[in-house]
Amino acid sequence: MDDDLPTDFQVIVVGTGMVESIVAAACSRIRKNVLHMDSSDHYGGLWASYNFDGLQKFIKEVNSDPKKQVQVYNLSEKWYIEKESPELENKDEENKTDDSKSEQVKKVWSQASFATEYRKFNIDMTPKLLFSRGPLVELLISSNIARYAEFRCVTRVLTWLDDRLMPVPCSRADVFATEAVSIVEKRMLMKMLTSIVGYNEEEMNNEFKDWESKTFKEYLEHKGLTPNLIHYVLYAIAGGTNAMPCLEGVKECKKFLMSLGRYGNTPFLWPMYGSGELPQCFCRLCAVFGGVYCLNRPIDKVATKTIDEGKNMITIDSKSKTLNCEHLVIGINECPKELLSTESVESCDISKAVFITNGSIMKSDKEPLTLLRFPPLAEGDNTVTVLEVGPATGSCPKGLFVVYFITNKVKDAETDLKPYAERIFDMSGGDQTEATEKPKCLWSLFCNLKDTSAPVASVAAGVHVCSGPDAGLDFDRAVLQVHSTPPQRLLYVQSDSSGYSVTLCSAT
Amino acid sequence: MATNRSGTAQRPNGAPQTKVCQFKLVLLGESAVGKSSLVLRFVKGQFHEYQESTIGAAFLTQTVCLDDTTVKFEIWDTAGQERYHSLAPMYYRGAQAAIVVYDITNQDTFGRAKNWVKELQRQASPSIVIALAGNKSDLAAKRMVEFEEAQAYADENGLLFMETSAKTAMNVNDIFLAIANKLPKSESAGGAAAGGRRLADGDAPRSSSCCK
Repeated sequence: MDDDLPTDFQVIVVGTGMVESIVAAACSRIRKNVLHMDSSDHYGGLWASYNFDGLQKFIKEVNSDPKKQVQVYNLSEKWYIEKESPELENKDEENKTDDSKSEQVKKVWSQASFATEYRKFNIDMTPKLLFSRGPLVELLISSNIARYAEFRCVTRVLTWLDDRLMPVPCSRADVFATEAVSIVEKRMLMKMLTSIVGYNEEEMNNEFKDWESKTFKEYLEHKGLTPNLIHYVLYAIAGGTNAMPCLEGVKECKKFLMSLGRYGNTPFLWPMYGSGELPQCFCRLCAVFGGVYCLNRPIDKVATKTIDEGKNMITIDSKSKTLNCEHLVIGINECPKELLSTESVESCDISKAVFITNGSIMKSDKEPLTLLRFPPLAEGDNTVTVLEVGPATGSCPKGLFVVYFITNKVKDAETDLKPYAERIFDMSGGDQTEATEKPKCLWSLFCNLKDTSAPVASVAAGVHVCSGPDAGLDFDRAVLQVHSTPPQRLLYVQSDSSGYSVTLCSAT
Repeated sequence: MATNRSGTAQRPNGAPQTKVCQFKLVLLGESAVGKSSLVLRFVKGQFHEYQESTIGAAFLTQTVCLDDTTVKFEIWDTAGQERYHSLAPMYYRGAQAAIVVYDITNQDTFGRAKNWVKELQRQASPSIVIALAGNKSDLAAKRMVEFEEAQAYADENGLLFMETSAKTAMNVNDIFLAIANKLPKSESAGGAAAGGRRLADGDAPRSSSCCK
């Protein structure tokens, strides 16, 4: 069936990660003839989400053939539950005799029950949130791709303060309702937030003009905020550390504040079935406008030559076939080394962990969807971002939660993140039915990911390299990479030397 | 069922009392079995002998009027992504109904249809209503898949089954109507977005049979 694949395209996109997929959709939308391929049998590349079975295959692949997934290392999976549920029979009888109460009896999970319900899991390699007024939401709406996807609002933002979890007041109403903040503090806070909303990068107003070389914390202290308020604003809202430069903190805060009130009580949205759905949505738009899709199609060799009038001709050998195109857009994880420029880029690898638990980190009436930002707990640590998603997001079966931890790597994923996980989970592997303060951790996965988020140049004309995921909370870097102008380097800018221009908007 | 046909392809008549339920319906099947032609026949009443591969149609909508309910189908076409076995799982996420199409003159496409049914049973929501359509029934002279064989397979798997012809319109409205009848019309089934929220903000109101 693959043999009837056409061979000549204007644009070939290799890899179905977020950036590649946005570019593919953009090119197809302006009626370029596009082929979009991926070497693996599923969409998403480093941005994919997996069901439990797919995840097991991924883990096996990384462990058995590290060369195949060079971006992932230090991968370690651990179970905290038995292989089989020992009292499975008892359990069944209980349920039969006492149907009405069976809801309250906590299910005893085993590795076998995870395997049976593997399809109900959607576990993300790159979990990310969307700011309600961020560039990705705007792009989804303007390109009409929004109608392929569904979202859930993040219901609460938490922080870690005085050795416990604390909800962060997000909206104006929250601020006034909270008892954690005094009236005087409230007034100070509102005044400061108002001036942050007024911040404008282009015309530096007086408020911030002397703060360029100072930290955000110094600014907050200068505004007379109490330590509690500084904690909320600096760590929970701006997601910063003590060293965060002032203007960066102001920008982050402004982004947070501007996204409030559009869809929910917090500024954030989470895609149903996980972040891995979004590249697929862009791919569908590309296909709808004629893009050809071919998964499971590794490439062997790329050759480029310049034909007359500076036009490029790129040939790609793939499965004993030669494909031709004018532009090759390629994900960094699929790109042959020799095509990459050797100039070194600044990078900081990512430490990640995924936990599956039997309850939320903080009880709530309705199923919560939580963003928690930990301030650094030890000298030299980075801030840790935690996302907790439940069954209503299509991430896991009823009764479970999937919790993601992300930080910039210091030592390795387990050393970096375990101390944080232990604060909010019971990782002892004990009786699941026992009532405990913290939810039980049933399964964990730690891994490090090479930082491939910096833009990389290619050495060949007509070849455009898409970077991989960053450690950030949102998709902004991926979106801006496609929509940025040359100083931030390539991809699909307004117009490049070939007169190529892309604007992915207004589906008319 | 045929007697009901007059109402099926028409827009709702504006009767204020009827309940409107919206469902996501996905089409599956091998390339060139006539998936897009079926939809085009159902939604626009048209048929083109040389239907181009699907370009530019994200989805089409069409309504079916039942006694007390108006069922609005949001019909998703594969956009050709099935051709090299590259259909994305997001395609059938949250779908409440599916039509798996094969070509009665091509045994291979029936085999592929069975695979799609299996895939849906594995991946889609457990309550999905699946219909099997043996298309191109106007080409009965070249038939390679027996009606009885397909009927038996459909019965075994709890599928609705009809042989259809997008060309002559035979059974096209009927199969959609049969699906509409079988779908649960509870309050909660009212929206395709029962799962999550759509970013409808700024979206122009959808017309009843538009495509972009």
